[in-house]
Amino acid sequence: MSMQRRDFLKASSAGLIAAGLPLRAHGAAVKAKVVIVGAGFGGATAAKYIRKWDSNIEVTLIDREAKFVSCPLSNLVLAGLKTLDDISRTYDGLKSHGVNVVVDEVTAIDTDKRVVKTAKGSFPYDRLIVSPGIDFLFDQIEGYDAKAQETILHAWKAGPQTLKLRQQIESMPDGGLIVVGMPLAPYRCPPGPYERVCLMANYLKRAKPKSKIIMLDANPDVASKKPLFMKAWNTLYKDWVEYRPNSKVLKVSADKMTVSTEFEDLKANVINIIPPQRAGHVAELAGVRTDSNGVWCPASFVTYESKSKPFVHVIGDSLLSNFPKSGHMANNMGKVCANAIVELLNGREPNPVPIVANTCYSAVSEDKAIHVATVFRYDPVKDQMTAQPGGGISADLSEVEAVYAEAWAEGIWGDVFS
Amino acid sequence: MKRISALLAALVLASPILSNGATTEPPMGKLLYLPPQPVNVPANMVAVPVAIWSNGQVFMQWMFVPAQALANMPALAPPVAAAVTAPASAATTAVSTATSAAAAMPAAATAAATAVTSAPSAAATAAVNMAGKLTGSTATHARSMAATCYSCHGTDGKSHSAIPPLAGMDKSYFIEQMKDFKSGKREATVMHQHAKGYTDEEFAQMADVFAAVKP
Ligand SMILES: Cc1cc2nc3c(=O)[nH]c(=O)nc-3n(C[C@H](O)[C@H](O)[C@H](O)COP(=O)(O)OP(=O)(O)OC[C@H]3O[C@@H](n4cnc5c(N)ncnc54)[C@H](O)[C@@H]3O)c2cc1C
Repeated sequence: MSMQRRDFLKASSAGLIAAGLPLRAHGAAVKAKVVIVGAGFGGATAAKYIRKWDSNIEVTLIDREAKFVSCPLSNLVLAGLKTLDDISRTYDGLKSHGVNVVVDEVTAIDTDKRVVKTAKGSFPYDRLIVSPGIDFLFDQIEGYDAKAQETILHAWKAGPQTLKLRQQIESMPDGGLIVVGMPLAPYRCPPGPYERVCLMANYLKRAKPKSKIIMLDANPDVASKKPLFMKAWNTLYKDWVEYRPNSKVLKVSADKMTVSTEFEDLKANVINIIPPQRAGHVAELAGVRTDSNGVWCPASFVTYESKSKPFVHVIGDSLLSNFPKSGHMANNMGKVCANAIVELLNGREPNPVPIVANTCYSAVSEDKAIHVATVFRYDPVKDQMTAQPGGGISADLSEVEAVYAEAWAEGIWGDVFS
Repeated sequence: MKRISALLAALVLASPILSNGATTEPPMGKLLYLPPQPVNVPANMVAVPVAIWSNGQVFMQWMFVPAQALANMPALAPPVAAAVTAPASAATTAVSTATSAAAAMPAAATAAATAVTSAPSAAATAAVNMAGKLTGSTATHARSMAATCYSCHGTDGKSHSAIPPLAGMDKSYFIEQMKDFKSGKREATVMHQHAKGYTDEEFAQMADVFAAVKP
């Protein structure tokens, strides 16, 4: 895999470098600029921690949304156990750290000139972080067009869809059927769809006991916390949940309210389809959605710098990795990336062996929760993040974990936004 | 910044080592991170990976060197020690480190980085010896590791929920608790799983971070 010097020279092209050590070398007064696209778990964390660790760096954080609505705990809104207000946060805390928050849609990124463009302005950068979350591949399901999307919701980005799906479930007659369809892994939040089914069932059990949920899982088996979710369905929700593995949703019809798999057509009162996903469009604008299928973004686990575009870092759900696509991971990646960028912009070596950790709680009822926890450590020889031995799931469904699940949410929202 | 110009001079003189295609196993476990190769290089310049040695730390960076200077160098002149004669010995050592560090890059390092390969020479050996003494960026590792706790325990360990705060915790108490979680002596819902992911030495590093926070 070695190159001769001639090729090595050819690989360099014309342009200008302004980040990293050279920037510092040119003059003390120059402030490095970091632009971050996406003020969710990944991007907002990175913004706060860059400012915390080096207040000489200018940080601009851009999001199309004026406030943050958390996906974690949004399934509790579906069950009527929380409101959307309970799970929303403002960007005021970030502003107090000196982060420039810009509410606007990012429409273009020029990685040669190193400028991010929004509807209203241009933002030059020395280093760019993209944490745009996910986009949905609706076209992989027949009939799931723009019109059908008005009735058949995903509610896999918390916000208006969460409320609308809640209303659909509330206005369903007792004795009705909800069908939930979920994609093959990898998708955002591995335990999320199963948590959703538990909490929808929790609501039905309380309010519409003659109703039922059928879960169509494209995966061959429950993809996360299997024994615990199975226990919840078999003990708490025996009469309310039917789980079907290997049942990929192939087709939907909003007019007829039907869902089709290879094996059956189901007619339902409420259809909730979580479509297959890929890295958010911003990753495409930055030219970093470059894995073999053009779906996720390969990047360094030391700095999260893209493997295809220098000075562009990718964190959160968009990353190509063995990580669970969780808010907790996005938050941890935001810190490692912030740490590395601070070091790079100061001409120092980034921490060569970063560690990230994950804890994902899932509520299974109004007062019981479960978790999965893993610590990942960078292995420089294999160039991969290795799950450390010792991680795992809860011993059982438990009330004390429901308390910790709430505390976790408060903790992480504070860590990201306060 | 004087050091850097010295390094550039050393690099230009030592450039034959950039072109040797042989890849060998890294002679040591130390990984030096090399950022992806810049695509935007000023006209008539080339980006070359160099190791910068400052305050006893070595780190890798891309630097721009006049293309002419590199082009004038005889390609594949093998004995590096002979090629590097003029610069000060410290600079020589640092530049050579670039070559051995690049050899220690993981498989996914850029192709360009792979182009810079190990030079089996006296200078490289000196660099290995020096790099072997490095402890890595311990301070930023500790900072980054402690930050993994903040997701649940609050920024700087200042928790405002049912999860206990870590800010200002006594160092030896923190270490003891983490060891007890790890061994199972102290029961937990989740901490036994996290504790197993860190070494005892890392517990001590994190303990320092928390002990230094005013609660
Ligand atoms: C129902 C559900 C439950 C979940 N529960 C948990 C849980 O309990 N624990 C957990 O850890 N994780 C959970 N997750 C997963 C978690 O929400 C995601 O992993 C996390 O949000 C990923 O962070 P991110 O920064 O990658 O993306 P996001 O948090 O989605 O942030 C992306 C941001 O980018 C913005 N954006 C995108 N494109 C543009 C553009 N062109 N211009 C401007 N702004 C743009 C978006 O508006 C958005 O704010 C859950 C997810 C779901 C759906």
